Amino acid sequence: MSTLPAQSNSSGDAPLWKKYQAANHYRSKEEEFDACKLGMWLFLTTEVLLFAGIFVGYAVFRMLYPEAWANGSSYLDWRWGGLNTIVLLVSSYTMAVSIHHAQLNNQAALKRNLLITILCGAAFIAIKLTMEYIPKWSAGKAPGGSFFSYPFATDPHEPLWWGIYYCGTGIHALHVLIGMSLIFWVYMKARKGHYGPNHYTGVEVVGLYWHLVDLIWIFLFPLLYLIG
Amino acid sequence: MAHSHHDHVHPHQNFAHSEAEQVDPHGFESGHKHGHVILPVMTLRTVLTLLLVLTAATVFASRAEHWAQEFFHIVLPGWVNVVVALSIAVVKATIVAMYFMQLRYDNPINSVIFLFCLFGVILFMGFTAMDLGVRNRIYNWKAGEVVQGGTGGSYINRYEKKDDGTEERVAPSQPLYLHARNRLLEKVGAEKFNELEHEAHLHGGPHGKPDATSPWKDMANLSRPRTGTTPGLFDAAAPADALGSTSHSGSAPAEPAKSAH
Repeated sequence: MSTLPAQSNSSGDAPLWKKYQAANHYRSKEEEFDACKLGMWLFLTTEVLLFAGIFVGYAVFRMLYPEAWANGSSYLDWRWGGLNTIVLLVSSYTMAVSIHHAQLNNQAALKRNLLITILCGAAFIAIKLTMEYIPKWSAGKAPGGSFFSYPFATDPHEPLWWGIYYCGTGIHALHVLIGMSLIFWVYMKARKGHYGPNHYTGVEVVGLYWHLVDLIWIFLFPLLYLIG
Repeated sequence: MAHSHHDHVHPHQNFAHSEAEQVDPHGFESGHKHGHVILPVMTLRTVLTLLLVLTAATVFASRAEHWAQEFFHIVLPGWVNVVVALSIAVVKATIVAMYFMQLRYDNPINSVIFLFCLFGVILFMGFTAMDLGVRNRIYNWKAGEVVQGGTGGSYINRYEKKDDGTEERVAPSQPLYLHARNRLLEKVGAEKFNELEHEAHLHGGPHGKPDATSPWKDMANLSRPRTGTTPGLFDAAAPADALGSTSHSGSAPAEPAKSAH
C-alpha cells in the first residue's frame, strides 16, 4: 500500500479531514453529520420496503405451495449459504472496525479494514456465482417462463420458487456490488486522507448501507436455505 | 486553498454574522451527545462472535430437525423450525442494528424511523398472512352443493350439544324447507307428522277441515298445497317426494317419464 502524495498533500500542513468544513447551510459538522445519517436512514427504509415486497411474495407462495418451497429449499446447500453468512458478518465487523479507526485517526487500519470489507463482498459474490447461480441455472433451475427447464421437478410450482429465489438473492447481490463500489469509493477518498476524527461521514453512511445488506441476508439465509 | 482553520472553527465565520449568532443562540450544539461514540474493537469483536454463534445455532436447529426426522422418526410440525429460525434472525438483526449500525448510541430519531418502517413491513406481512391463513375456512364455507332454496347457512345458527357438553355450530346440510320439515318429523314421529300435515293443508275443501286441537286450527294459517296444480312444476322440490312419505292426497301428478306404465 503506497503512501499517496495526498496523505501529505500539496498544501502540506494538514491532512484533508482536518480542514474539512461543513457545507454552508449547516451550523456545524455535527449537524451535517446527523443530517447525513438521518437521510441515509430514510433511504434505508425504502430499501427495507423494497425487500419487504420480496419477503411478502415469498410468504404468499410459501403458504400456497408449501411442497414447492420444501423442494426448492432442498436444492440449496446450507453450507454455501452458511459460509456466505459468515463472510458477510465478518465484512460487517470490518466495516464497523474501519469507522472505529477513522474516529481514532488510524489511517492504515482504516484503509486495511475497508479493503477487507471489499474482499469479503467479492468473496460473497464469487461463492454465489460459482457455487449457486451458475450450476443451478445451467441445470435448468431457473425462474419460470422462458428460463426454467429442470426436468426432474416434482412440483408444478417449482419455477415460482426459483423466481423468488433469483429475485431475492439477485437484488441482494446487486446491493452487495453497489456496496462494494461505494466502499471502494470511500477507500479511495481515505487514501487521500479525507477521513479522520473530525470527519468520517462517508465511512459511516456507506457503513450503514453495508450493514443493511448484511441485515437482509440475515433473513434471506434462513428463509431460503434452512426452513424447508 | 491553504486555510489554517482550527478544528473547531465555526463554518459560519465565513459570513458576516453577529457574534450572538456565532455562539449558537438556539443551543443547537449544546447537549450534542449522540452519533460520535467510538465503539471499542473489543465490543465489536464480541458482537461478531455473538452473531457467528447465533448463525451456528440457527443452522444447528435446522439440521437437528432433519436428524430427528431421519434417525428417530420424530416429525416436528413445520412451523417450529420457521419460528426458531426467524426468532434467531430477528435477534441477529437487532444486534446488527444496535451495535454495527450504532442505533443504540444514535439519535433516537433514526431508530424511530427504522421501527416505523418495520411497522410497515409487519402490516404487509400480517395482513397477507391473515388473508391466506383463513382462506380455507371461507372455501369450506362456500364448498357446499348448490341446493334449491338454499340451506340458509348464513341465517340459521343451529347448535348441537356434543358429548362433552360443549355446543358446536352445525351448518345446515339440507335445503332450508327440508330442515324445517325433518325437524318436526324427528320430534313427533312419522304418524303424527302425517296427521298434522293433513290438517295443515286444505285439500280442496272437503278433505281438510280445521281441527280445534291442531296447532294450525286458525283458518288463516291453513295452506293450499300448490303441488299438482301445474303438472310437473314442483315435482323435484315436493316435500312429500323428498321425504319419501305419502302423506296426503292422490293428487300427485304423474311425471311424464312415468306416465308410460
